Amino acid sequence: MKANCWIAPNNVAVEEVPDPQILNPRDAIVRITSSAICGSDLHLLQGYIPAMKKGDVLGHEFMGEIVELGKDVRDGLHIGDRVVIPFPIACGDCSSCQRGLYSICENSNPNAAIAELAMGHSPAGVFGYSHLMGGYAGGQAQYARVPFATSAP
Amino acid sequence: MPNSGSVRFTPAAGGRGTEVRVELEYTVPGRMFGAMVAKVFGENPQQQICDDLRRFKQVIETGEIARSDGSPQGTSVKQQAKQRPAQPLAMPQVG
Ligand SMILES: [Zn+2]
Ligand SMILES: [Zn+2]
Repeated sequence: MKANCWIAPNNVAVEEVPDPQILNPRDAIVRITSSAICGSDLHLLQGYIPAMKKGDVLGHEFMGEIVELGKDVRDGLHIGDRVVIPFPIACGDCSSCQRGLYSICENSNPNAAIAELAMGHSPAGVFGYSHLMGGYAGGQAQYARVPFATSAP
Repeated sequence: MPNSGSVRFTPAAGGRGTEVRVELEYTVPGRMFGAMVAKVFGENPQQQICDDLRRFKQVIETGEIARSDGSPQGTSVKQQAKQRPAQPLAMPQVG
């Protein structure tokens, strides 16, 4: 698929990258119909946010149509549903998620330890927003993998 | 590596879940130098226990280990040092 990739500060490019695949039982794959370029993408573009890597797919605000579901996604979501994806990736099960504090989900950032070192506390994983926020591919692309699809805030 | 230790589960104060405390005593081969080498390569037992505890919490609370494109193996200090780009993998790596 085609995706907008961060190359270096002030340099992004639309490149051919592999299609996303289901990695976890609660994932969904979404065919993206619209995607935003956000003001906070400028911080990434201009190189103010650390922990970006050449080839990172950008984009944290997107919507589309579900084309594939993990095996544990049973209720509520179906192939063909049109969905809006919130940018914080939230498990829905941890104590922060259960209090509605999805942006500090305790389970969705696999790089929480470096985020804690850098900022004192780790935020949730965020699509297309550096490896401090988990290193998730973003939504300025034709398709995206959405983890914890059953519990989008 | 010779070691001994304990894992304790206690209810956390204020109804905020369960506290898991791991105590591990170990001797690093090669003493100071060994410890330094281990740290550089992400083999430090302290880091490994922290990673294991995080993954344990993820599995207990969500039923899965959070995987991203940059960290497809999930939480691992070793992998944090050498992230892949945040773009989908050609072949899903599971492990
Ligand atoms: Zn934004
Ligand atoms: Zn959560």
